[in-house]
Amino acid sequence: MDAVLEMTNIQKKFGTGHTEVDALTDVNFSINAGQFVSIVGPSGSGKSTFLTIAGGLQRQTSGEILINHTDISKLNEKKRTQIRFDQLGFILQSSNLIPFLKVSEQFALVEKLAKKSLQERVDMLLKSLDIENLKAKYPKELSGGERQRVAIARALCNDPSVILADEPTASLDSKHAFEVVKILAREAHDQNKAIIMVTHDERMTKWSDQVYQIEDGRLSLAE
Amino acid sequence: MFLAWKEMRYAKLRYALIIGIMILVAYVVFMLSGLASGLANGHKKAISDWGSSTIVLSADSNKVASASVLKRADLNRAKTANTNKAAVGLFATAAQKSGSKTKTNVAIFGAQKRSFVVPKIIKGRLYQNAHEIIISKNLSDEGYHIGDQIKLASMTHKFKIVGITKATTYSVEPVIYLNLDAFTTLKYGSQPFSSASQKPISLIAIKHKTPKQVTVTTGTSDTKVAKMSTATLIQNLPGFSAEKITLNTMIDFLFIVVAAIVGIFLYVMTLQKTVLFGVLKAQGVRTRYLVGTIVSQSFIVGAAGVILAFILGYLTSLILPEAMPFTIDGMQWLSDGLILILVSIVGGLFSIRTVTKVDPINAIGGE
Ligand SMILES: Nc1ncnc2c1ncn2[C@@H]1O[C@H](COP(=O)(O)OP(=O)(O)O)[C@@H](O)[C@H]1O
Ligand SMILES: [Mg+2]
Repeated sequence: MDAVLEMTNIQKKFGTGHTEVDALTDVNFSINAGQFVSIVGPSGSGKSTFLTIAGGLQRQTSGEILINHTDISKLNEKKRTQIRFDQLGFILQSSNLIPFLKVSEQFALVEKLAKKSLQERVDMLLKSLDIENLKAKYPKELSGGERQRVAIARALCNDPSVILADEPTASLDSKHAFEVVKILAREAHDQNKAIIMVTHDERMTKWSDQVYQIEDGRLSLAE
Repeated sequence: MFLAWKEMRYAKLRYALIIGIMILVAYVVFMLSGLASGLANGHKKAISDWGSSTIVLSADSNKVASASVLKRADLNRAKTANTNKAAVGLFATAAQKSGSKTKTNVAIFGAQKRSFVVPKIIKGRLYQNAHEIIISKNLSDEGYHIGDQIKLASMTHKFKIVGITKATTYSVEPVIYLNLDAFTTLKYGSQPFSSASQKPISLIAIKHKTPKQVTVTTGTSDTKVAKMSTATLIQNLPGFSAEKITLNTMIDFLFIVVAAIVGIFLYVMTLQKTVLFGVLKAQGVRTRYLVGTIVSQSFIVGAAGVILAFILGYLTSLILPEAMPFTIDGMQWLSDGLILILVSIVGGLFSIRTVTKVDPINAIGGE
């Protein structure tokens, strides 16, 4: 199988001298299309740093990171922004929805920016996530679980290869949290997407194809 | 534009408020501008109605028409076709209707009845002798009618109103035209002059397509003259520039106020959206698009405010009292409106740096 995201020997240091922090040390990671992978670790272990580097939001101190075989840390800011738009989807802790857009308009914005119609794909996603009836609502009119389902559809609508989910269940009660994780697993398999979920909650890992744990910036496969 | 519109729709009240403020400021600008044009017209209209290109005054008048004294013979010194030059006498005084106690201040122009400076008659006829006069419509509105005998200055004999021209003013007073002889007696009484050509006039008005080609000869015994464009003469009308500068300074100040108000408003709105902008940037939305959103919003606020203030200003002009010197100068309003829109966009530009500085990294892992 071909890896859609591949990280080799990633180091990330913050600060210099005696204030130096090793946020990531010797991180090796890869994920294929159709895989749902969880990364579990306590607060301060380096989860957010991992995701921001994987998402091209900051650069590693050393190591290589390939998204569909392109080393994104070697690209300029404009190209990285374009890659984020075309190939990555983000699902954030609370919500990555725009408060002043109705659900259907969240997708309309992506269509405008992508300069192409995503209508069919959006309809399919809304149906599959069972949120068709929320189209005309503003984010603040949705429950936490509904909001995350819309966020998942938003992340998937431009057909990215990799989805990065940053504690997507943190603001949900466990019933809705499990539901969201199950949806992520299902979409990874049905849509053939590589989905990476970062969480501090071990209970959320049981639907994952692979579980990593991260501690003090070191990533390893969980037993 | 999509995000810009949608946000304005969502935060209706806030944007309605800022547009409301924009309307008020733009309205004040239009009113001041109308007043400036009205006052300017009040000073100069009779002169700009001539359609002359060039004015000749005596050199010692320091460009002030009322201080200039030339002779009728000086008309021959202006080298241009006879139909294109006019000797004009200028005199400010008060008019009084026979049998009435009220006096009305008027500006009096003396001119040969066939000269181009004499305005079109809209009622009655032109003066035929030194005892007949024509008056502007705004003077007739004050109770002066064709056929009335009126007293001018301290003259003992009366003048008869024989015609009415369209409304016009000079020095913010209504206007009377009469012939040059009438002017001479009005201003100089029974003072004798050696010949008609020695009788004084105030200025020579010249109409020429290429004003530069107009020359005025000066012999050794001739009065020294100053040749200037009609615009220069108008600029030097007493009070004209001072009033204009005062009102225009107020308007300019309001332009700065608009930039500040729109700038501060959009800056606050931007600060409230930094987290959202971070998320959008993380999702691959370009900074240029976000900046475009803010600029569009400042444009919409400016344009909506200007258009509504335009309508409001026009409606106000319909109910303003006649006596108020208020004129809608379309080009002036248009340029004021465009500047208002421009400065509100400038206000929007204040926020660009803030948007540029938002780091998408804060979208992730931020609590
Ligand atoms: N911008 C930064 N500057 C300095 N230290 C940082 C910065 N970002 C993260 N760190 C440090 O790196 C480590 C990992 O942080 P983070 O990736 O946020 O962990 P997590 O998301 O698992 O809580 C922590 O020790 C944190 O203090
Ligand atoms: Mg974190």
